[in-house]
Amino acid sequence: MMNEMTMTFKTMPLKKLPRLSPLRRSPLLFAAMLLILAAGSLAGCDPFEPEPYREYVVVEAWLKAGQPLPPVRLSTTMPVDQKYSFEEAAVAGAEVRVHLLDPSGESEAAYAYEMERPGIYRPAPGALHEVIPGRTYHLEVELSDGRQVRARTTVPQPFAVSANRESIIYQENLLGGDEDVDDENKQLILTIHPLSESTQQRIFIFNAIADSPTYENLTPFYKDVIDSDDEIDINEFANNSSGLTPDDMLTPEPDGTLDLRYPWIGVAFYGGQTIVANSIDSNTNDFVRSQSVQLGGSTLSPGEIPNAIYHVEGGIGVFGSMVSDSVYVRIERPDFSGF
Amino acid sequence: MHGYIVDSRNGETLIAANIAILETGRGTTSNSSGYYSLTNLQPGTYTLIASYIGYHRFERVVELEAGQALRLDIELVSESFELEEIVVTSEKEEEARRNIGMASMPVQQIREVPAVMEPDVFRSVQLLPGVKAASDFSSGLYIRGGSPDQTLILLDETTVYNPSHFFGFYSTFNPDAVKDIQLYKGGYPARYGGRLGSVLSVYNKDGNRNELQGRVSVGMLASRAMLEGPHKWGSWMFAVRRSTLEPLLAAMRQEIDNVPDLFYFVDLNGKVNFDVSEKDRFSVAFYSGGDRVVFPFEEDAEISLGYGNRTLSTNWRHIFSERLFGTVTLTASRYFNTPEFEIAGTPFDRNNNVYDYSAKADLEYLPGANHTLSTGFWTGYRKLTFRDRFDNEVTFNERIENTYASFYLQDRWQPSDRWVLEAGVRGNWFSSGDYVRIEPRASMEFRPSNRVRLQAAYGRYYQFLTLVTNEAFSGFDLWLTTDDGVPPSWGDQYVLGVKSVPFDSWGFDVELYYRTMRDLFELNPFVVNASGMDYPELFRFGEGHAYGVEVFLERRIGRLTGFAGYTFGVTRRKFPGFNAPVLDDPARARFYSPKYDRTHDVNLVLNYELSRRWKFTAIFNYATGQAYTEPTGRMQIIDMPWSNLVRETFIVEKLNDARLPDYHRLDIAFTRKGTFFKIADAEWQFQLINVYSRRNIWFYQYDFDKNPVEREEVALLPIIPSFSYTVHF
Repeated sequence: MMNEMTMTFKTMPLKKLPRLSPLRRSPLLFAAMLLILAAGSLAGCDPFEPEPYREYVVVEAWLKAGQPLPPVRLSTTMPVDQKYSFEEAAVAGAEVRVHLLDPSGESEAAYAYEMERPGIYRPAPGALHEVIPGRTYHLEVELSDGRQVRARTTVPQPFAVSANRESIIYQENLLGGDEDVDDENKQLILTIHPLSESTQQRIFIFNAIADSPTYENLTPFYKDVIDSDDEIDINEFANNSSGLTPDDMLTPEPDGTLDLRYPWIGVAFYGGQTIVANSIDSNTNDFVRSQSVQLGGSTLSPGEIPNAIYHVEGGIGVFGSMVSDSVYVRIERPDFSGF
Repeated sequence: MHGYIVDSRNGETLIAANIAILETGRGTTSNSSGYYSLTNLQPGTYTLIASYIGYHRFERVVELEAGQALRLDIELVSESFELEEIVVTSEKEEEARRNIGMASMPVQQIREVPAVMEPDVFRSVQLLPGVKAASDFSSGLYIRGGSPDQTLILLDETTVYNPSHFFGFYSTFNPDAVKDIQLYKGGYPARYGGRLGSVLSVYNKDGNRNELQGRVSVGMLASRAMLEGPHKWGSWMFAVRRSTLEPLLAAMRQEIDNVPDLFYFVDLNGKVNFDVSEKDRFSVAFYSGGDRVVFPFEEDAEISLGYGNRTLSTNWRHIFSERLFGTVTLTASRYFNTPEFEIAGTPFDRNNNVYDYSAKADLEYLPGANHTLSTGFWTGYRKLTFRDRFDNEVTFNERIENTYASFYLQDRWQPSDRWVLEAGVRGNWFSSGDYVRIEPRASMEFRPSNRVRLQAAYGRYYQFLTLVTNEAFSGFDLWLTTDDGVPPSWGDQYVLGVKSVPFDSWGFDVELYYRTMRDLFELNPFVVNASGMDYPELFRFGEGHAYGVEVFLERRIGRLTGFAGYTFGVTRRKFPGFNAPVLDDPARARFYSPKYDRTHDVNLVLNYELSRRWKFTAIFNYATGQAYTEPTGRMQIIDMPWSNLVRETFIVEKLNDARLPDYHRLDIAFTRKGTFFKIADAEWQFQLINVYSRRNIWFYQYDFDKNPVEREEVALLPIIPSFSYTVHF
C-alpha cells in the first residue's frame, strides 16, 4: 500500500555564500574579451558590395484597338544618380518593325517604322494599319550596335461602355440631390458591354479627362491636396486614373453586362469630362502592378525594391495594348450651403 | 515525491524551478504548471533541494519509507521579500531555462530595462541573442532568420494572432499581468508545433493566494493597474492597461493639423483559479485588447481603424498519481481588424477576422526513475473571414474554414547523471488541402562536469499558416492557410549548444544553429487586387535558410547583473520571379537577404544596484546595418494613355545587396524605490532612450520629383526621455 502524505515547507534562508575568489575579476575580463572579439569580427569583411550600374534598352509603345499603330519610344536607362532626360537617353538609328501575327505565331504582316527624332519612331508612311482587338503583335528592334529587342502583346477583346447619366451632381447620393432621381442613379454607373466572348479575366483601368482642369474647378479633396503640397501639379489630376480593376470587382448583370459604380474619388474636377474605360493586356497589367510597389506599400519591407515585371526580350519597358471606350459626363457643382 | 513549487508570498506556481536530491544527484524541473515529480526513490533519508533564480534555496531532510508517495508542496521565499544580501542560487540552477534552444527573460527585468515610454515584453525579448527587431518601431520577433509568423505565440496556451499595439510599436502583453515567459528559439520539443521556427509561451499570473495586492503605474504613454488576491477556493488577478495619449494629442491639435481624433489602445487581462482539491486545479483566463484610431486628413477624408485580440482559456490540471500528471485546456482566440477609409465620398472598408477554438490535453508519465513520457493532442477549428468593400460594393470576400489536429509523444530518458536523451514525434493533420505531416524531434545532452552541458537537437517543423503583414504597419495583418495547391512550409533545424557555469553566478552559453525553410508560401507582393484570382495564385512559393552562432554571457546574481549577447547570423531567401537578373529568365530566383538579416548583433544589458534605493540600468545595442536595395538605374514610361503622370521606374541589379549604416543605441534608466505616503511601496523610473541621439536609419526614401533622384533618410527614434511612477500595495 502506498501512503500519501501532504506536507508544505517554507524555505529557510541558508548561510551566505563565501566571498568570490580572485576569479571574480576574470569574468569581467572574459566579458571584455568577448566584446572585443565581437567588435573585431564586426570590422571584418563586408560581403555586401552593391552591383554596378548596367545600361538597358527601354521600349515603350501602347497599341490601342481600332487606332493606327502607335509611336515606339526607344531609349536607354540612365544611372540613378544622374540627371535624367529622355532626349539624352534616346536611342537613334534603330530599325523598328511591328508584325501582326497569325494564330500560329507567324508574321502575317510587317509594318516598318521610321525615326521621327532620336528616341521616337513612327510607322512609315506606307505602314497603315488599325490595331485589331484579340490579335497578337510582335515588336522587333535592332539597334545600330547590333543589340536586339523583342516583345509581343495580345490585344484584349472589344467592349463598349455606357453611362446611366449624362449629367450628375458631385456626391449626389450623399448630398440628397434631385428627388426625381431614384437612389440607385444618384451615382454615376458605367456599364461595360462585352462585344465578344472571352474566358480570360479582363483588367480595367478607368480614367477621367477633364474639359477644364482649373484650380477653381477642383473638387474639395483634390483642392486640399493641391493646397497642401506645392510640388503637386494640377495637370496630374487633369487625366485622373483608377487603379487596376479586375472585372470580378464589377457587378455582373443578367444580360451579361458589367456595372461599375464610378467612385467619386475618381472625379477631380467639376464640369465636363470624358470617362474612359481601358481593358489592358497582361504586359501592361504586370508592369503597372509591379512598378507600383517599388516605392512602398504591399507587403515588402521599406527599402526592399524589386524590379518591375517586363515582358521584353533583350531590354526592358512595356509593349502594351488595350481596348478603350468612353462616355462623356458633366459633373455639376453641388450646393454645399446646407452643410 | 511530487507537488507544486510556489512563491511563498503569493502562491504563484514557479515554472522551471530546480528540484534535486542531494545524495543521489537526481533532479528534475517543475513543468509549465509548476508541478514536479521524483519517482523510484529507494527508502531512506534524503536532502531535497529546490532552487529558483531570485529565491532562497529550499533545503529539507526527508525520510522516505518503502511504498510511500510524498506530496510535498514547496514554498520558495523570494529575495526581495527577505531582503537578504545574497541569495543562494547560481546560474546552474537555471537548468531548465538553459535547455537547448531555450531562452528566458525575467518579468522583473522587463519592467526595469529602459523601454520607449512603456515596458514591453517583446522588446525585452528582442534583447536576447538570436532575436532581432525589424526596427525601433516594430515589436515583431524575428528569431533565427524567421519572420514573425514563424513564431507561435501563446498566452496561457492560447494562440494570439496579432500581439501588437500602435501598429506594431508595442506588444499586447501587459508586464504587470505576466508571470513567466518561455522562449524556444529553435529545436523546440514535440509538445509544440505549427510553426517553422520558435515558440514564445507567456503565462499570466494566477493571482495572489495569500493576500490582496495591487500595483498601479502611471507612464507617459500608458498607465496600468493590476489587482490580485485570494478567494475562498483559490485566487484571482485582473489587470488593465490603457494608453494615455489624449492630453498630448489635445495639445498637438492646438499647433498641428492632421492630429488623430482618437488614438488609444487598451488591454484587459484576468484569471481566476480554483484549487478544487489537492489533486485538481482549475483556471479561467481571458484577454481582451485592441487599438482604435480615427484620423481625418485633408478635406473630405478620414481613416478609421480598429484591431485587436480576444482570448479565453480554461485549464484543468490533475494529479492522477505521483507518476502521472495531466492538463486539459480549452481555448478560444479571436483576432480582428476593421479599417475604414472614406476619401472624397468614396468609402473603403475591410472586415478581417480569425477565430480559433481548440482543445488540448497533455499527460506526463514517469514510468521509472529515468524516463519521463509526455503525450498529448491539440485539435481545433479555425475560421478566417476576409471581406473588402469599395464604394459600398463587395470586392473581395473569402472565408476559409479548417480543422486541425496534432498528436505528440516524447520520452526524456536520463540513463545516467551525464546523459539526457529526448526523442519525440509529432503528427499533424490539416483539413485545408488534407495534409498529414510527421515531425520527428530529438535532442541529447552530455554533462562532462557539473558546470558544462553539451547539447544537440534536431527537429522537423511544418507550418500551415502564413501572415500577410507589413513591417512598418501591423494594423492590417491577415492570416492565410494552406489549401489545395498551397502546401505547408516545412524545414529542418539543427542546433548545437554548450552551456556552462564558468564562475559562480555566471552563465556562458554558445549555440550554433542551421535551419532550412522550404515551400515558404507568402502573399505575392505584386498582387495589388486579389479579386477573381484563384487561391494558389495569391502566393509566391520559395525557400530559405539561416545559420548562425549565439553567444550569451549572463550574471543574474549580485549587485551587478545583466548579460552580454552576441549573434552572428545569416538569413537568405529566394522566390522565383523575385530578384532575377534583369534580362534573365524572370522565373529564375536568386537568394537575397531579407531586411531583418543582421550579420552581427551585440546586446549588453547591465543592472547595477547603486544603493538600497537606487538602481541603474543600461542597454547598449550594436547591429550590422539592415539590408536594403540600392537602385542602380532609372527609366521613364511617358505615354501611358490613362495618365498625365510620367511613370518613374527603378532598375535594380540585385535585391537588398546594400547595407544601411550600422545601428547602435544606448538606453539608460534610473529607478528609485520609496514609499507612497508611507502607505505603500513606490518606484520612480527615469529613462533616456537613445542617450547620444544616434540617428539610426530605418530606410531610404527616393524622391523622383528631384532630378537626379534624391535619396532621403527616414530615421529611427531620436533621444526620448520618459518617466513612470509605480505604486505597489
